[in-house]
Order: sequence, then structure tokens, then C-alpha cells
Amino acid sequence: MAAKVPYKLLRIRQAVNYYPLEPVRFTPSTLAKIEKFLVNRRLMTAYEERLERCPPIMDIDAVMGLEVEAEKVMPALIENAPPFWTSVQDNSLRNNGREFLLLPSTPEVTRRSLVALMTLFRDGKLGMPDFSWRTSIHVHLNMRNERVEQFLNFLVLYLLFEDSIFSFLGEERRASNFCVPVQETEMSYFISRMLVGKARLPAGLCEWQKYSALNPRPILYNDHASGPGPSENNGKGTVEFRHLGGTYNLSLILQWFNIILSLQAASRRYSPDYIEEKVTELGTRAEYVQLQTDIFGDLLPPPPRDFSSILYSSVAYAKECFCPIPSIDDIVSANARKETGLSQMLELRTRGATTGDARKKKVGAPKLMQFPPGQFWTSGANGIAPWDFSVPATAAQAHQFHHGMGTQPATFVNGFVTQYIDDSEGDQ
Amino acid sequence: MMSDIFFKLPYSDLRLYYNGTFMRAKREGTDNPLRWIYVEEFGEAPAGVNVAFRDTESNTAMLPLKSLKWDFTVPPSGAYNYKNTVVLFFRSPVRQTTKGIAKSNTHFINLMRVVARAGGIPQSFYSAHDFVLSAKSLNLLFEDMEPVSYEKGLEKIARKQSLAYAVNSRISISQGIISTHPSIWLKTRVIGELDLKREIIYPLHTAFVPELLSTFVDKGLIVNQS
Repeated sequence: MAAKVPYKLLRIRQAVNYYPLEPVRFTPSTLAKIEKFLVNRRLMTAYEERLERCPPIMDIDAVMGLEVEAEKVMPALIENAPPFWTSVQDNSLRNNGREFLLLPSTPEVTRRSLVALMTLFRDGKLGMPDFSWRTSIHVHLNMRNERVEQFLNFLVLYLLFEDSIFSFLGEERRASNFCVPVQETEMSYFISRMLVGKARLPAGLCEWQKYSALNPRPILYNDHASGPGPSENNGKGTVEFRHLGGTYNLSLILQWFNIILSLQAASRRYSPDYIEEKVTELGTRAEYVQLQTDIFGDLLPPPPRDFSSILYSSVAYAKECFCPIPSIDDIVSANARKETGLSQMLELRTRGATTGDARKKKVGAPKLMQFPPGQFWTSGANGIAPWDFSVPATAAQAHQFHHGMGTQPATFVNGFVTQYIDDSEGDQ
Repeated sequence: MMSDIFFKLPYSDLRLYYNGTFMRAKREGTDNPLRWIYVEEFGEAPAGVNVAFRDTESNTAMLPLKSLKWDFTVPPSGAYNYKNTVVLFFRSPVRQTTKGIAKSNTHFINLMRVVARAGGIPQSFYSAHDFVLSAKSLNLLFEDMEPVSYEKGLEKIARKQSLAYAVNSRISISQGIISTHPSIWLKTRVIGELDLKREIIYPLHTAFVPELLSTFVDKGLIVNQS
């Protein structure tokens, strides 16, 4: 009988019961289809010129999909999309907005298909679509063949470089509510639970929200499905990158693809232990630059000189994922009968709130303390001493003025305390 | 959202994106600071679009959209001092259409909420410190709270005068929930304890030692690394 494979070593398609995905591969027949389309439209020369100017794409075993949103799309363009592209209506867009969808493809097919689409757009004979501020280009990366632990590596490495990615793609995207940086959300809790083995993919992914800049929900869920809510095991088996705004800039798009593929290559290359050690011990700019170069080469901009801006944002967020979160319920119940700072405060406040007959009986009537105007006074272990306030008190301060832990408001004249009731037990 | 795009948005899109949200704005041509307002409704008028808004809990006004200066930046997420506790501000990337700040796209979490939920704080006491989303609360949280110095914040903790205070946007100190020593939090997780008498921090996990060191060493505290 074969030994059971640990969950983290399962392929995601096994873990969530998917079939493997068969992409459009870069074969002579694929190339012939693209070229035939371009020749028929008399776009072959323009396509070849564009292709030559475009950076190459990383040749790794990956499958990508694209969603290219555009506005002012004429009906003729919809009917004459290049091979492997389809289009659907997108209600978030205006002015005949459409979303062009690329079939799952290997990287080189993705590159050529995108150049073909942009060549058709630029040609303008069927109308030149507009990449308005509403549009974006979403990249889907297949995860069905990745092991669960490789997916978790991928998440952590992404988080580590999230700031650099936004620096590369444009800081204005950070403010978009449709592309929220993961580090500005509460997701570290769920990533942490998946990393330490307390939650499996479905539990972690169902908490993830669609409009995160990196959205792994499509691994399992189809947020476009009709019905009352998202349906599980109906997803594409992909993670979605929502960072890139709509653009005709092919060099930028291709560089972005290479950054994504570099992340995937690194998530396969490094062991989880190596990544945990690297991330939790990362503390200097030099270490960060070294790791960034190892993974991305020169694709991402170098981190800022003021490294703390990254160290305490994306790096710190990645570190949080390796730190199991203590359960506050457990802490509170374990310390329910123990004296804590909080219980001391509550006791004092409760005592103050119930100051009255019971306490009077216990400690006697409160003393009325008189002080000359001009100074706050307090008492502590060393006796009565001036309160170090150089200006008269506001009404709010007056209300908050307590003797030790007492809660009775003091009497103020011209902003200075003149008397207060000593309702403490003199134990401060 | 850039202002040139904002002012060109059709009435229907303005309603879709901004109805029922909070935005920072002020009247054009005044020296007043930007304040949070609650956008109630947009109305079409011959001269353009009008906006009805509340700038305080009770004052409602309707003005031409262009007579206001609008700010589209989102405050940085993180810990903010609020009354005598700490409120954590997060963005929530759920599927929705609103921009600005709204219940659907942001979370405001009282640092001590989890403790209260676990029964560690009586509801009557906790609710006095809780954050309720309104223009008034947003102005207090993001604009009006006086900065709390490290020393002052610690003094209030030691005197049991506050539940918590934020040292910076990530780290807060609260009344001790594990022992009598104040607890140190990184956003919503407890990461250590602070022994005030001995001036030593005891981290709960080594991952955050570098951040604790950089936050507290210049304040004369030692981070226990044994």
C-alpha cells in the first residue's frame, strides 16, 4: 500500500480534484494560425516589427491567461479577434467596453497572441480601443500543477516583493480599491494558518478577497459564476495579478509577465525551509537586493535607499506569515483567574464606577483635598508632588484628572485644579 | 482617482462610486483644512452636478461638486491612536464598486476587540472606546488626534489610564493580557511583553526581534534574545 502523500506535497489539482490543464502550445500549427490571421488583415509587417521590439519572454513550464479590458470597442473588432482570443461584456467598463480573454497558453504563445491583439488594436481599421482609467490587464497564472508548498512559497515571495512590484507598475495603482495591496489587508492571518498547516487551501482561499492585487481565489472559486454566491471547485486553477492598468505599452507588459514567471520559477527552485530562513532573517538592504537579483535579475527596480520603508512593509508582512498568531481566546481564558495589567485596570475602573456606599463603608468617607490655584497635584509613592503641566487644563483634562486610580472629577477654577475627592485607597 | 477624471464622471458613475462613502474635502478658496465628509447623494443641476453631504453628525449641505476641493488619497493602513485605545485601519478588497471610505471596502478594528470578544473586557467598558464609522470619528482618527509621545503613551498605560496606544503604524502597546506587563502588538497579533521595571522586552517569536529592536532600542529598552 502506497504511503499517503503529505498535503503540502500534493499537486493543487490533486488537492482540489481538478484535471490538468492543456494549454495552447507554441507549435508550427499555432504559429501558422496567428500568422494566417495577420496576413489576411495585412498586419504581418506591423506585427513582426512590434514583436522584434518586444522583450523576449521567459521560457519556463508555465501556463498563462490574460484578460485585456478595453473601451470603445467596435462590433467589427469583436467579431474579428485574433486566434485564441474571445471577448465578453464587462459591466465595470463604459463606452462599449469589452474584456478580451486569451485561452490558457504557454508563455511564448501568450507573448505572440498579445502582440497580435495589440497590432490589431493599433491598426485602427476596426476602431482603436481605448485603455481608459477604468481598464486593466489581468494576468492569470496556472497553479494546477504546482505543489501546495510551491504555491505557499509563491505567496510569500510575492509578499516580500510587493512594494517593489508596485514601484515598478506605478504607485497610483496602490490607491485603487480594485487592486488592494495584500499587505494592506488582514490576509497574513490566513496565509500564516496555511503555512503552519492549520488550514488547507479551501479554508485559506475562501477568506481571500477578489480585489486584492494578488488574487488566488480563482484557484478554487469562480467569482463570476451565476447564483447566490461563489461556487467552490469551479475556479480556473489560477492566481490572478490585478496590478497592471490598461496600456498599449508592450515592453511594460512583457516585463511584467517576466516578473510573474520569475516568481513562479523561484517558488519551484527554493525549498520552503530555505524561504522561511531567508525571510525571517532578512534584515538588511544588501540581503534584500541579493535575493531580488537572484529571483528577478534586473527586472524590478532596486529598493529605495531608505530600506526601512520596505523592511517594515512588504518584508515585515512576509515575516508575519511565518509567525503563528497566538489565539487571544486561549490567552484570555488561560489568564482569566490570573492578575494581568488589563484585569488591574478593569478592577480600578469598576471600583471607581461603583465608588459609593460600599467603599465608603470599607475605607471611610473620601477626604476633600484643597490646593491653591496654579498647579495640578498628584500623590504617589513619594507623597504629594506637583503635576508637570505648565498650562491650564482643558475641560477634558479636568474630567480625566484622577488621584492615582480614582475616578472622581476634580474641581477646577480658571482651568486649575483647586480640590478633588481622594477616593483612592492610597495604594499607588 | 484623479480630480480631472472625477469631475468628468457622469452622474450615474458618481452615484455608483461615491454614494454613501466618506471623502476628504473642503470648500474651494478657503484656508480650512481638508475634513472628512459623508457623501449622501449627487443631484443633476443645469450648471453641473451637485453633491449633498454631511460634514458633521448633523449638518447637511448641498453644493456644486466643483465648489469643493476633493482629496482622493487613502490614509495608510495601520495602527492609529483613538481616544484611549488603538484603532487599526485596513483596506478590505471585497468585490464592490465604492471608492472613498465605506463599510464595504475598509475595516476599522479596535485593537482590543478580540480581547473583548473573548470575554476579557466587559462590553459596557469596551464600547466606550470603540470606533463607529462616521465623519466625526474619521476626523478624530485621522485628523484631530494629538500625537501621543512614546513617554506619554507609556505613562498612561502604567497609570491604567488607557487601554492601548500606538507606538507607530505597526506596533502598539496595551494593558497586559498575559501578565501584569504591558503587551506589545504587531497590528492584531501579540508579539511580546514589556517589563517596565527592568526595561526589557520579551518577544513571543524571534521573527519580530529586528523590528522590536529598531522600534525600542533608541528608547532605552532591551530586547531579550535568549
